Amino acid sequence: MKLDRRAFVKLIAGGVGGTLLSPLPWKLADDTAIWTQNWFWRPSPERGGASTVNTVCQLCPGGCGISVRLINDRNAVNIDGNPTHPVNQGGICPLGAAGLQFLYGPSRIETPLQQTGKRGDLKTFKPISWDEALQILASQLQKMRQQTTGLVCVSGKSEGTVPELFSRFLQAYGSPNYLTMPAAADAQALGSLVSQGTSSPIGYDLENAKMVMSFGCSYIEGWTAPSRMMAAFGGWRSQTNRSRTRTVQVEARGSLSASKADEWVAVVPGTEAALALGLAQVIVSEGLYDRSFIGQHTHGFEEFRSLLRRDYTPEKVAGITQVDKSKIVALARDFARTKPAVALHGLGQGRMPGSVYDFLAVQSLNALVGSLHQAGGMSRKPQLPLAPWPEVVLDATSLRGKSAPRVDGAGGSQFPLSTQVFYNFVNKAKEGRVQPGVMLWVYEANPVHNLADAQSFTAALEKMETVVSFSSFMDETTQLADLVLPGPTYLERLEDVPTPPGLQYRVFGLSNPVLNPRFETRHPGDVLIQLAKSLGGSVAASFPWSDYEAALRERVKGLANVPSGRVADEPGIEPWNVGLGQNLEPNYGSFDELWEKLTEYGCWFDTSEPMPSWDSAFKTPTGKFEFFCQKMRQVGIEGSIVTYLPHYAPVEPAGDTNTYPLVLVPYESMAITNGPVANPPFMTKLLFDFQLKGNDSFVEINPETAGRAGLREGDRVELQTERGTVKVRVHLTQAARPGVVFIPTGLGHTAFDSFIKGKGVNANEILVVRQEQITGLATWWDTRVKISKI
Amino acid sequence: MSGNKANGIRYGMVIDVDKCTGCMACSVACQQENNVSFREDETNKLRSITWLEVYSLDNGKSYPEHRQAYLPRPCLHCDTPPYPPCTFVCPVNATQRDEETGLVNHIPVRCIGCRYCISACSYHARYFNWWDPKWPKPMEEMLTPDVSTRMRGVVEKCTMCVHRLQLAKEKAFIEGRRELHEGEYVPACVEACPAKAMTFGNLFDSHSEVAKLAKSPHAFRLLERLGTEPKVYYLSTQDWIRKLSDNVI
Repeated sequence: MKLDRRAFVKLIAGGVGGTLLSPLPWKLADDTAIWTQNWFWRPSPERGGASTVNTVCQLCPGGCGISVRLINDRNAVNIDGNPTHPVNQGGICPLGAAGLQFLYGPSRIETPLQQTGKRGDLKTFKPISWDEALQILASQLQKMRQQTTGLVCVSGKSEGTVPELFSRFLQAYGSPNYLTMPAAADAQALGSLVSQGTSSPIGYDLENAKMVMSFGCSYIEGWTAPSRMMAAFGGWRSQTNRSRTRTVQVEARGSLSASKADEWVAVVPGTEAALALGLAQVIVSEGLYDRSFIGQHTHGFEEFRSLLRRDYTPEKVAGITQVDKSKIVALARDFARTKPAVALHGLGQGRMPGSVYDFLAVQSLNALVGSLHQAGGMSRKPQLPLAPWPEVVLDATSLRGKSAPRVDGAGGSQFPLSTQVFYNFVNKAKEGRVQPGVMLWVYEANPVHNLADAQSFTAALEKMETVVSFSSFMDETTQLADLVLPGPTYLERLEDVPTPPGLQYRVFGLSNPVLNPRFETRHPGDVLIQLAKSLGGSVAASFPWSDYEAALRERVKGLANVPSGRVADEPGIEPWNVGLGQNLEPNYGSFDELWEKLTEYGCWFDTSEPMPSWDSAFKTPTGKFEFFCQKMRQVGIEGSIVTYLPHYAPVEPAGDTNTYPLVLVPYESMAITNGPVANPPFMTKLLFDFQLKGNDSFVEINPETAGRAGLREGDRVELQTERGTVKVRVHLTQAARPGVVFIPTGLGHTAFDSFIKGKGVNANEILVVRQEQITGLATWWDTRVKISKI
Repeated sequence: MSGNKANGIRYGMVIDVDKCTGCMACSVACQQENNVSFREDETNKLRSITWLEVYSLDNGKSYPEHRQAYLPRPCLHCDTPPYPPCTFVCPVNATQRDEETGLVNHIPVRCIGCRYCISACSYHARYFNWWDPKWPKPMEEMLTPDVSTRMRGVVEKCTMCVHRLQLAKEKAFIEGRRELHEGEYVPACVEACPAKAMTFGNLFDSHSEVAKLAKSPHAFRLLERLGTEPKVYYLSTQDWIRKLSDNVI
């Protein structure tokens, strides 16, 4: 056959047309797409059988129940909220949802480490065996004990058996220097002690409140137990009747907590407590207070009334807070007439102690409307009926240690009320005023990054003879340690999670290991028991358990011995609807059954402890709620009558207004964690590009303030305070109060891995910490600042 | 809406913006559930992949009348008749609407990366892989086998965790059921929400919570006037939020 030109063209055209009409090109395009995606560098997740293990999150004290999904019982691939857990009701916060990024984080510490070179040099950390590490530590402790030099422990956790073991170890060893990271709970404990005679943590019956007035609390952005608060908020917003719960946010910044509230009361930052007193004055002068409570169960009301009349009239309070006089009056009436109404204390997420008087002011508002120890009001967090451990065995050294003055001066003549004065320790150590040869232990805390005025802590650390870190991660503090005894992460260890902060009913969470420890880590509880054993003598006698689990089981036996309480084994449990004081039929017969169910579901709860009655609630000298706090006078705090009453006692911001014309206020949000762990990549990804852009973080300022300083959106600026200087960019927003610069906390890590470090600046480096005179409690809410364009 | 309303299934979602506390747990849970990749620097938002993106809204007023709100936006799984804008333009059938469920799927291995669908989507709900996803070494262990990882050059988006629907169906089948109970299949975001602001279910089932909420006088959808018929509804009593929902650039 002869192929002429015409036939050839026909053949080609026909071929092309035919191919195009056939599915071939589409099939080829599809196949090419598939083939070109099968590359070896594309990770293929391991396949296998899935299982779920319930446990409790420990990334914050919020105590949420979580369910972890595992593949082949080995790879944890997902964390969900556990719907049977009463605290979070199946919900979860972003940090909890990102928890696996900690378990599998590149900055995990794999073995014990000893610093063989200069502190802070990661290259000279030498991996050592556990035996070696414990031997080094034990021999050093043994030597120190003979010379009675100090051991100081900083714990990021305040409740639970592991912090108890730490404090127990210090007692048995002979050191009074057990410190927890500063928190609003410090002020609340002192305030409750002087006004109610007990220093129990606060519990709020929020689910039953009809009006919630938050004095600067980021109540849906991480305050107390975050998921509980968000669940409660969702509950309030689900009410459709006319008497639905209303929220009022008193805050300087137009945060989400403010925007989502029914009413936002914008105040001068740091004057939240003054507004509380302003409301108290209106309630008292208009006779709107709870007469039966005030009349029969309070002491010093008259003194308080005249102080209010003198110093906190709406006019004066309007002057301090810049809130309209009429608004103060209206808010006060609303608060007094809505029953039950509750006022919340603890600025931001409650990480700052603040003044004890701020707490007393907010508490007095609750007292006036009869919301103390009442349904829908403010009460105490009930204690868990855990069985006690045997008494600590004391020898001559530990007895001496018990009566020795604390390194921070707490309980001494300067701060007779305080149980700890964190910054006194920091400042004394920084200035070299502590004895030489101090050994510092850091557990579940990262003060080198997280503590306001972070550099001071770093300077204090330099003065320590030895620094021991129990962290699972190479964080800023651990980088500076001499000895690292890495603990397993919360997903790899057994630990109790006691009632989360702010709750009104008892919760005992049990965090179960969901998988075997991935590295050569050891539980801090076990480490302490082993250490005690190798020290021998009374220290060993104080730790009679074979391991941590034995110690924990001993305490948990107490739960099985009370006639009420249940393991949360079905979804939809709402203990606040059961009513406090109601017994719950236990769904276990013995301790063994309880333990088994606890490891299966992770949570025991109980509503049997009622709120204390007004007749028996107050352990003060008068047996009443004391507006006039006699305890303060008893311990020798001197001053005018005002000293003993709730009042507004601002600690003036440092720096003069000419050099530093603006005010710097830190803000906390759910998007950036402030705990001992750093922000996981999943969360950092979600930051808006007006919060973090490249490696620059942004501060919020009002366009008006920016205009005066000649600043435009995104400009790079230098923030200077008396403490230091940082470079940031500005984001102009009407959420910012004019004259105030709002800086996010939690950024600016210099440790961890490449997904975390170097992002933004650490606000703690420029915050100026001031201490309250009588308690030593720290305040850093408002710092004077200068902003200049660079 | 297309499909057989009498006994059909149209999965949809209602997000109560007033209840939303802006914590972004939904978005984190989504990333975890769907093996969404992350990079060291995610601040270029045109290149960042977040199947469920959270938008920041404000009422434009001055301090202290200023209010802000966060608005979570998954893929809205448009019920546009006869095709959603994105599937209509796909040259390789990598994305289609499953008419049995109303879910708009996307099969990354079929995708040739032409990005027509990205331009067609009115809601920026689709994302392109500009780089090969990489997980730092130990983090590969946390990848779930339920969702395959993607690679450079393909588009990806929210699937309403359709793999969860498969699992739920298999479970029902084993138990001898043909129909799923309400709440048996919910996406990871809905499950995670700590404020219970998100509701998911069959919009065609008039007894379902989601169908009731979607009929609320406070319900609205994003860019409703485009006629894309999104199956994700929002609720808010705030006028300024509702107004912003129809804000065409």
